[in-house]
Parts: sequence; C-alpha cells; structure tokens
Amino acid sequence: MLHIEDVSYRYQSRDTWTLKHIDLTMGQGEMVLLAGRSGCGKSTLIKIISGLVSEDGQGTLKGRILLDGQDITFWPPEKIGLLAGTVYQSPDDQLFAMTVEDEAGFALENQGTEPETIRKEVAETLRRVGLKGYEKFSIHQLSGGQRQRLALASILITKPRLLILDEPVSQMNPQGVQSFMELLLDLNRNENISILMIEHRVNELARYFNRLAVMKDGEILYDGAMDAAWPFLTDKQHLGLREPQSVKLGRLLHLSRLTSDKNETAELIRRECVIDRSFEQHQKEKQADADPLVRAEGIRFRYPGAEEDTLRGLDFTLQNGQITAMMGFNGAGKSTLLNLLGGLAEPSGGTLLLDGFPVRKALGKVGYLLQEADLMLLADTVTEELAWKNSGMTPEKIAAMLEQLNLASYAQDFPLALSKGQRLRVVLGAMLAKEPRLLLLDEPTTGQDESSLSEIKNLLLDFKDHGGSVFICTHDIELASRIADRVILLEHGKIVADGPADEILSDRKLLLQSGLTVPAVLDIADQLGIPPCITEKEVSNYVHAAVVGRN
Amino acid sequence: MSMRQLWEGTDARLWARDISGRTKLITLFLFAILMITVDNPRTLFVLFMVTLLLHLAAGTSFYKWKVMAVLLMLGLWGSMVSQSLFFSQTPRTALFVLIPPDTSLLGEITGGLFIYREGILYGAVQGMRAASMLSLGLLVCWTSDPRQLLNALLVWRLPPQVAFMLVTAIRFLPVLAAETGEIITSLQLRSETQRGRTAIVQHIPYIAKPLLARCLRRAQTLALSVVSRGFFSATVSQVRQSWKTAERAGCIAFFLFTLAVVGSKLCYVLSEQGLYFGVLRKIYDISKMYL
Repeated sequence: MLHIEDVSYRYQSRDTWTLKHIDLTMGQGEMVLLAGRSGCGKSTLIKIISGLVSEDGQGTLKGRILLDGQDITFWPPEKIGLLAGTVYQSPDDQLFAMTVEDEAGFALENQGTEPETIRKEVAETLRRVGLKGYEKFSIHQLSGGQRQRLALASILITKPRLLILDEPVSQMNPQGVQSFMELLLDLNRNENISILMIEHRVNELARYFNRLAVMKDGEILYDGAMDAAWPFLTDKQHLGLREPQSVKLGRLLHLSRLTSDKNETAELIRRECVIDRSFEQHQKEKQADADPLVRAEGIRFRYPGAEEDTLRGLDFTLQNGQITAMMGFNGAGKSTLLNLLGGLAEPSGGTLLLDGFPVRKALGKVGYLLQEADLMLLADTVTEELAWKNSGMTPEKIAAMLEQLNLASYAQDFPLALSKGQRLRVVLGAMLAKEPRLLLLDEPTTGQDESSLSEIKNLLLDFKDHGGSVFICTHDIELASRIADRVILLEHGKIVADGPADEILSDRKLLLQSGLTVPAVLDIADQLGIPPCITEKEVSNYVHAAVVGRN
Repeated sequence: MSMRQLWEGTDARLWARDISGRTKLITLFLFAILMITVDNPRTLFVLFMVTLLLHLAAGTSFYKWKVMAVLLMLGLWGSMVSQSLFFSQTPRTALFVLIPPDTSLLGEITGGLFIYREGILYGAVQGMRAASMLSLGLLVCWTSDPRQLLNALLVWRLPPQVAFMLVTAIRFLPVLAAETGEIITSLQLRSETQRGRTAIVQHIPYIAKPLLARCLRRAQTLALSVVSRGFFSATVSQVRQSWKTAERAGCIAFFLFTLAVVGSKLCYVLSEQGLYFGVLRKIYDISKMYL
C-alpha cells in the first residue's frame, strides 16, 4: 500500500536533514503506530506522504514514495488526498465549515460532485463515524471527541485507502480514546483501510496496533512487532515513549519476556516469580490536618442563564503538603471547580475558604496552570517569563528556578518556540515563582511525552515536599496513581468518591463510572490474587523473589 | 451561549442562512456605498433601522443583540463625544464650556474646551454610518457559513488562496473570541496583585503575542487540511454556481436603486457647483431633502 524508499528531507532554512534515509512499508489494511519525541521528524514525514512538503522552494527531497503502486513523490496534495487522508491533532484547527454536514461534504464539493450525491455520501459517512443525527449541528456544539470524529468523516468521505492521524487522541479522556480507537479498528477491519498513527501515548494505544515504528532525529530506529519493541526500548528513556504498565512492570520484575498484554504478564509473573501476599502496603494518605488549607462546604455554582447548577453542594478539604487529583468525565464540573479555587468565579452558594479567608481575598496564595498553557506565555525570553509580575524573582532565584526546570540552556530562548514539554515547564515555573501555597493544574500532561511527564512529576513532588498543596485535574490515571495522595471523583457536579488514591483508583466500578479506564496493574494484581495495586512499584512489593528470568 | 457560538450563525433563521454568499456580499457592498453617499441624518437613521429590522427578521438571538448593542453604543458615543469636543468646522455653537479659555495653564494651552452642537450632530452622522455597517456586517457574519462567502469570492474568479485568506478570519472568529477570553484569564492568573486578578483592561496590551502565535499555528493546520481536501484545485461545482433567480433580481434592483441614489446625489452636488438643469429640479429637491 505505502512504500517509503530511502526518503530524506532537508528544509531550506536548516543545515541538517530533518529526515534521513527513511524506509517504511505498509501493507493494505495494516495499522502502524509511529512514535518518537517532539521534533524527531514525524510530522515532516506525514507532510511528505501527504504532499504538503515538496521541493517547491521549501527544501530538498530525496528518495521516493509509492502509494497504491503509484509514485506520488511529487504529486500535488489534492491528488494524494484522494488516496491518503490526514487527520490532525486539534479538530478545531482543521474544521472549516459551520455545520456538521457542510464540513463532511467539503471535499466532495471541491471535486464538483452533484449536490444530491454529496447529501447521500454525507449521511452515510456520518453514520459510519457515529454522528448520525448531528447533520445540522454547529461544529462548536460538538464535544472534542465528536469534533475529531467529524474531522475523520471529512476525510473518509473521499474513501481514502490510507488514513494518516497526527496525535488525534491526545486531547481525549481514556474512554474517549477507547471509543475513537474502536471506530478506527472497525474501519480497518470492515473497509480494509490502512492506518498510520502518530502518538506519544504508546501505553494506551499499544493494544490496538500490531506494529510500532520509533523515530529519533529523523531516522527510524525501530520498525517491527509491537511486543518485540519492548526489549529494544530498554534503557532508551530518551525516546520519550510512554510504555504500557504491563511492560513497565515486566521490566521492573525482570521478566523473561516483556508484553503489553496484561494477561500474559500476569501469567509470566506467576511462572517466574514468587508472590508474597503477606506484605502490607504503606498508606499514602496523610492524617487530615485540623486546619486544612482549603475548606469547601456546600459549594454550588450555576453559570449565568443556565437552568441547573454545574456544581451541586461540594464538601471537601485540601491539606498542606498533599497532592489531590480530581478526575471524572468531561463536563462533570472539574474546570468549574478549578476556576472557583483560582478565584476566577465565585460560588453561587456555600463557603470556600483558603487559609481561613474567602478565596478572592487570598489569591496571592494560588497558582493556576490552565490546560492551554501556551496561552499563558507572553514574554520574549524564558527568563522574562519567570520574572513577569513576580517581583520577588531576583537573578539568583531565576537561575535556580531555571536549573530546577531543566531549562538553564534555554534562558534566553523565545518561550513559544520551545517544545511542548518545555513550554509547559516554563509556565509551571512562572507559577511556582509566585511561591503559592496551592497549585492548581488543569490536565497538565496532555500531549506530553514520558520524559516531560517525569520532569513535571518531579517538580510537583518537590513542591509538595516543601509544604505546598497541589490540586490537579487529570484523566491520566497513571500520573494520578504515581503522585496523588488523594483522589476526588466528580460526576454531574457532585463528589462521588473522595479518599486515598490507592483506595479510589483500585475501585473498578468507580473508575468506569467516572469515565476512566482500569489500570493494567490492577487487573494483574487481581489475577495474581494480591491486594489491589495501582502502580508497578506496589505490585513489585508482593513479587520479590526471582525464579526465572530475573537478574 | 458560549463565546464560540456567539460568533457563528447556526442559530439564525434558515432563510437568512440560505441566502447565497454572493447576495450577502453584494448587499454589503451596495449598502456601504449608500452609507457613504447619504448625508441626511434622518435617512441614515432609517437605513440604520433597516439593518436592525433585518436582524430581527433573521432571528438574531437576545445574547447577540446585547453584544451588538454594546458595540453600537460604543461606536456611536465615541464618535459623538470626540466630534463634539474637537469639531473644527464653522459655524459651530458651544453648548457647554468644559474649560474656559482664561483658565490658567489648561485654558491657555487648549484655548478652551467646549461641547459643540454641530460636532454632536456631525459625530452622530458619522457614528450612524459606522454603526449601520457594523450592524449589517455582523448580520452577514452571524448568518453565513465561511464556505458561502468563499464560494462567492471563487465564483467572482478571485484566486482561491486570496479568497481563503479573506474568509479564514470569519472561520476563526469564534475560536479567537474564546481564546482572547482565555488569555485574559491567564493574564489575570499571572498577576501578582489583587487588582490585576480582576482587571481586564490593563491586560489588553499582552493579548496579541500568544493569540498571534496560536493563529499562525491554526492557520497552517487549516491550510494543510483544506489543501489535502482538494480546495485549491476545486472545480466550480453546481453548488457554487447556483444563485437563486429571486436573489439575483433582488441584487439587480438594489444595485439600480443605489445607482439612482448616487446619481441623484452627484447631480445635486454638480448643481451646487453651478451645473444646473431645470428638468432635474425634482431630483435636486429629493436629494436635498432625503440624501
């Protein structure tokens, strides 16, 4: 289906080659996951396949690309678009029309197709992606997942043989990812469409793909079966891939074989390790202080003009030196609660006190990192960014902060030109520079690779160790299980669970009820007959004697 | 209604949404010519009211009316206040004295500051022109799919790249509005003072950079997306070519009306310069009274 033969590409403005001798072959109906750190050349490769980057004054292209047996290396993008459609990361950026049906029919309209045919094709395509009944809806009325489905429909309508997806699920919650991936699997199975997807979140997607390709510095380092990749990736954290929990656990326990299949991992553990069920887990939850940092009693909130409350009587406290993760479905009221804690809105009812004062009177003690961290960057250099409106930041403090953020060598760089992980760390640094007592974070790990995630995690733990309180809104169950002391689950504006992280995150029913997925290690622990575990480390506490395969 | 939905038009009545992009753009253009041509405050007011009636007929939502009212009032009041203060033509009648000319320092520097009656009227006329165009522009924006306008421009043989650039702004209006709000929020969050946390105006100078950076990224992705969907090589389809006869007739009628108005005004201006024809007296009268 797709043959990329010895393709190299160099942008005109750069001295080095962005792609170096890329060889990649995909059969008809094959699904390949392409992973690698930001800047490794993945997006350039996609653009070359789609014909959006060529030699026309933009750079130098060597090698050739065959699609469906035809040499498309220098074809115009609109011609390639009939064979290979591309879906991008953010649906907001790629949708053009005002209504769902107009967007879906846009490509056919461009081809001069009869209006009646367009109508029929649009109806059929929207049915395929699960948007039947939404024809007349505004694109802004759709949820993020639905918009991404619409973006997919707008490509599928031309019946491409190859689908290229550039981080299409990076902004979705776990159940949204599952639903979108099931749709892709259906398309792959029923219509034999080949799928090439770029994504950092190998941990969540490994089970959907048989084949993984890993890129670094413009080269494909690995291209082969998914499960055969794990041994190759040992000691290659610099590639920034988020591995499945099963693989991490297997690596931690030095199993003879690493696999993303949790059942197989459990079986391997049973065969190769000795399980000690008598170990007592250390409880993460601290004793509640008598004087909590935040005290919320009967918090209600209703948006102007809304017919019902978004938050319906929340009671909770936040302690000093504690990380609390708030999780739940999109629309459960998580961001609204963050806005109340950040002082951007006032509760319609109830009491919300920060350090004994109403939040609005204690705003200097709160740092709030929005989900779209890029919108918080406004200075010309990283140093200026850290100092902006932070009068207490002396040059010495800024230097120390840059070291802590691992951004010392980027001190004079333009923040918006940094990688996604670095941009997030700059904003986080600017927040920490305020020396807040409470740090609020809204989905900080969206689109972040493993190394960036690890750096953020360390920053938060360090803040916590210095007595700070972190309140983090996230869908990332792995992150929550690793750093959170406590988890609050929100559903339809009400708290449905509030307790120690290991207790809440090991309750399957609660997790599924809140739009989350069950962590692989929880299933593995279940199969091993050990108490519920939510991290690899916890499982390893029960599996501590080597039998086979361990070093 | 969310910030995004404020700037798009799926809630408008169907008849307004169904009008071709060509009709909308032609109407906008001809209306602009009328607004430039007409000087009579009463007629300008009538034309302004026509735009509001069109909003009413198109089913503009209450929230959008509120937003439009704020924009219109700001424009009208701004124009009237500035002209009443700085009106320089004569004759002019001072209604109020804000700073007498004999006031020490300020009076000497400014020569006195007055509110002029003629300035208020002149400002109202200018403001009415701007308000009418703003109102009609919003109506087009709130009832149009970007594709409609794009199709109109393409039918008029505008290069697809240029047409795309012109229309993309409308596509991004809802997103830009939402992101501007988010940036102001983030600036509030980054402020160190209590006042900065709630202020909006003081953050405005910092909005441009993050917004521009996002716009560039978005525009690139959108361009890639439409290119790969064959937009720039699009054949002019039947959908694009269709222009209802009634709309076409309406546009021709409006064009002829505008032509008549401009012609009448031209005749009147020429008559004032001495090029007077007796047979055109009725036209001169109408122009003087209504235009």
